[in-house]
Amino acid sequence: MLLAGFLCIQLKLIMPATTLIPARMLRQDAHKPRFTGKQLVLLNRAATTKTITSQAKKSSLRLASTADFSKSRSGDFLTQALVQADGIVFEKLKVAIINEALDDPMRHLMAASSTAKNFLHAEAERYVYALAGAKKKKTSDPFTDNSTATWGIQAINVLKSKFSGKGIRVAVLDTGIDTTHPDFKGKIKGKKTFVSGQQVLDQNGHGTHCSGLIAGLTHPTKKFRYGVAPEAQLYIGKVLSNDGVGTDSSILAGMEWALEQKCRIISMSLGGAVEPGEKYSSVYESVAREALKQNCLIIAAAGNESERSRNLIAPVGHPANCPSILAVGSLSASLAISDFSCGGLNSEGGQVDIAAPGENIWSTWKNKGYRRESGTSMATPIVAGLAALILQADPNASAAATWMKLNQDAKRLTLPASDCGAGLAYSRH
Amino acid sequence: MKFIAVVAQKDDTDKLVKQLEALGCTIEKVLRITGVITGDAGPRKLEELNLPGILTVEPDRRISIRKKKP
Repeated sequence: MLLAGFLCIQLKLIMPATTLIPARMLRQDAHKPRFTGKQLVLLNRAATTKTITSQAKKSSLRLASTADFSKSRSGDFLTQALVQADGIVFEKLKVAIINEALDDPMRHLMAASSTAKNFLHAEAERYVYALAGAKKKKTSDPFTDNSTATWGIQAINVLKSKFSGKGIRVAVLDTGIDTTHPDFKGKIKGKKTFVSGQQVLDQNGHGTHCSGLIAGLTHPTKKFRYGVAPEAQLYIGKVLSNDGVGTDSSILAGMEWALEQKCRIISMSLGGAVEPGEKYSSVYESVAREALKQNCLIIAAAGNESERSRNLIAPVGHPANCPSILAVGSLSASLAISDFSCGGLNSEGGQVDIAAPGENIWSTWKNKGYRRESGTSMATPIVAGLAALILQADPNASAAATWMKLNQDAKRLTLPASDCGAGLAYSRH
Repeated sequence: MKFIAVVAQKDDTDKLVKQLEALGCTIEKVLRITGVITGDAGPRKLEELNLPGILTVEPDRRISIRKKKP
């Protein structure tokens, strides 16, 4: 331990008195002792160990040598040496460690003309501490579901809103919806399938989950709230099969249908992975610009391909990577970026615009059920619901103004903008 | 190969649909609000569909839900 510490001292910690030490380090170690009481002595590299020990002996210092312990299997030979002798010489390093309370003989050796050339310099041996890892950024106390609302509803501050999304048309392009679910009674104003041979009825569950996050209200028995805009009008476009898969052409057809239905918001918890540096789709960008012109805001999931715990961040996927589509990242209940959430890596489009709760999110499921799910899929309809509240508050707001309002109202987080855009989607009405 | 395309001017959509069909494409959807044409290029390469008046042509990609995989 001391040897390792000694090496560190030799390599890094021997600094002139004027060396500036970062204040953080001083504060961090202020309560810890700095010196052991022993001395480190720098020896002449040309002097033999025999000469050193002989000269030391004449000043009443009995020095051992590392060579004396070369066959020792004990890692604690240093302690042993410093008990048996007054110090020890590290032959290869040409450094000695001298025990406590032997300052006088050392000063003599460094001062006497016959020995000063071999005993060059002494200094107090320091304690060396493992550097503390960088402190993790303090994250908020985690939100939890309670009797009033799910954690996501609490986090986005929607409980204080006087708006409910009443009358705002929101298209959900997904795997359909459980049309029999009691929580959607009277809320599905339009529906159409774009999947050959499959009805709008959701036999996957994903579309039902996303729709619930927009227009669900409260759990029928537990009575806690889970939907953001419970009076929004749902337009359900089944563009993904019951296996959760579709094609661009089906999704584009669904977007067109949503515009025909005069939807103000299109929520798309879907996409495909892209490679770093890959350009966004010009077709989708053209469609998204047209939608903005027609006062329809398209909100899409950034994607789940990252594994941040392994330092892998995947770029925002298709089609959320289009500049005119609002891309949503996912946050944990501690408002940290989710491990899986894609990041704004690609300079040509591909930014994350905003983030929202996306882990263990409780909502409706197929077969009149409920369950928790995680993904940017869940964060996306939460933002779509917030957009509905904004539009109810100002029905004349353009799609671009709605986007800007989402950005303005977002709660800033101490996270990179490339991960969370403007921050946590947040209601300020 | 299946494709998606978008026209530069929506007024030209019908004309471009005919030109694509003349190239041997099977047109599946014509989305007039957004100016999108989708279909099957048949034996043609996508670059060959990039006619004057077509803004861009791309392959029809596979898309899936964005739920985190367990």
